[in-house]
Amino acid sequence: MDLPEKLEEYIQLYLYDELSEAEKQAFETYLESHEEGREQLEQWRWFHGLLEHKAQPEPSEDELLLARLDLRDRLRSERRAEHSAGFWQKVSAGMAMRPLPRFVPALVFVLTGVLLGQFTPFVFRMWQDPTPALAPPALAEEAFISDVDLIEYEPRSGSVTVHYKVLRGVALQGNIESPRIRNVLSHAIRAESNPGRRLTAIKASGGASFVDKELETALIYALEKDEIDGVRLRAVQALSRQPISETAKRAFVRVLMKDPNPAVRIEALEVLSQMREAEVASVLQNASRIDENEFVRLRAARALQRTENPNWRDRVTE
Amino acid sequence: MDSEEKAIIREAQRGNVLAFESLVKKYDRQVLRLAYSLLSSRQDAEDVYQEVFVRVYRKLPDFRFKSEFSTWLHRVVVNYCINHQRKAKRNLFFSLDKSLDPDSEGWKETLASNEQNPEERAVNQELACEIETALAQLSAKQKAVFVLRHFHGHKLKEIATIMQCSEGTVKNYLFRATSKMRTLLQQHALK
Repeated sequence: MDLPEKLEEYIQLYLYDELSEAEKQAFETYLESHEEGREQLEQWRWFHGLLEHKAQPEPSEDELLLARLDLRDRLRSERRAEHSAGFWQKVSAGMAMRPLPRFVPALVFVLTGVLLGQFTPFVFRMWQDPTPALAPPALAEEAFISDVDLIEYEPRSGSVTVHYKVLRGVALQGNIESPRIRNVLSHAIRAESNPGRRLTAIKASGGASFVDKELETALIYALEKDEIDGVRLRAVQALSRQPISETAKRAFVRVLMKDPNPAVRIEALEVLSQMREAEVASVLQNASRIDENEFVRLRAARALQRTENPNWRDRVTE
Repeated sequence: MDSEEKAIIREAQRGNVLAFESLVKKYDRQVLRLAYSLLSSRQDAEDVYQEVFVRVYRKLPDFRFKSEFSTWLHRVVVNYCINHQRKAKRNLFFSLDKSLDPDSEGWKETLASNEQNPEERAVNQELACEIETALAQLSAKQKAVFVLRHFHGHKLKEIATIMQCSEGTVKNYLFRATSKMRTLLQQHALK
């Protein structure tokens, strides 16, 4: 041990428990006989104690849920992009990654020559054949054409080859009790590009009298992230008709604190005002003081007054 | 790394989305906490969360089990955060004043102990702010080492693996960071 030249370093390693057992013992023996070393150790201890005042924030469950949902959307587009990458793109990407040996172009040239020689008579026969090489499959009645990828047209023979994708339409009938219906509605609330359909999906989900985690998460996603005010408003209303979980409650608090639209904030405020909790009361108090909209401040103040009523009913379910 | 985790990673490498999501679920809290500690901004931490997991999704097929998955993941997080800080400093968007980020203030408030009285809480908040300001004076790598060792409890050896440098280099970063922090906080205490 190189004491006391590296005393400060040893003190830190000692405090971080990074010394070996032997080093630790030697260091403690050194400290016993050196007043100055002990003083320095105390100063460093003071510094470590000071750092304890910096609490490490913990992300909440709903924070994580929303981050996961965003990530799921991003990965979905990532996969879509992967699938739509063309064959030649993949080939060129592969070639760019691995430098080809010098003999490969020559080999390709020779092989092309051999293949041309071998198959030319066959290709020639096909060209003259009036029957199309590929028979078009019958289009199923319920299938829709989604994307036409490629059309090959041969003017001499009049042959046309169409490469396309089909989508199959599904009509699912049921009610909100059906897990499959809830699953599709949750997907529509989060991912449907048409706001009208998102709104209808939210309305349809508002009849649930139980907490479905996936549906609840989708509604929370809509009420916090949807760009259309009306959709967010409907999401607050739909969520408020379900038994309100802790996660939903936190979402309402965030809406009250951050939503740019006063009508949406008021809707969230109305839901929150039915809960008897100190945390909610302080949020309402804040809103009654600092909300930029006078009407929201007024409604928050009234809601606070209502909380003083002893017959008040608590709505939060754990 | 236990055999169950290895099996999940192999499944995810084969393109099983559910396996990948279970890895996300296992580690994403750590990722968000670490990103927040390094960037001191909730919004930036959430952005890094997304970037990190998209990158991990793309690069997972190249993972060869030479290190722990968590170490590999932490390396991606730290590299992203270091680059993010450098870019932010270059673009002059980096704020030394924590109170300018209202979102992260809100996040922190939810953690405040209920047992503290208002005066104590105010003093602690001021001190936390001073610590944050002192942390912002460190270089990106010094801050990364300091945060990983002090706030996330990683051993110096692990940090060296995460940051792909020698243990001696990590010690140097740590010593410089702690000395600088102590000087800055002592100045604050003397005020």
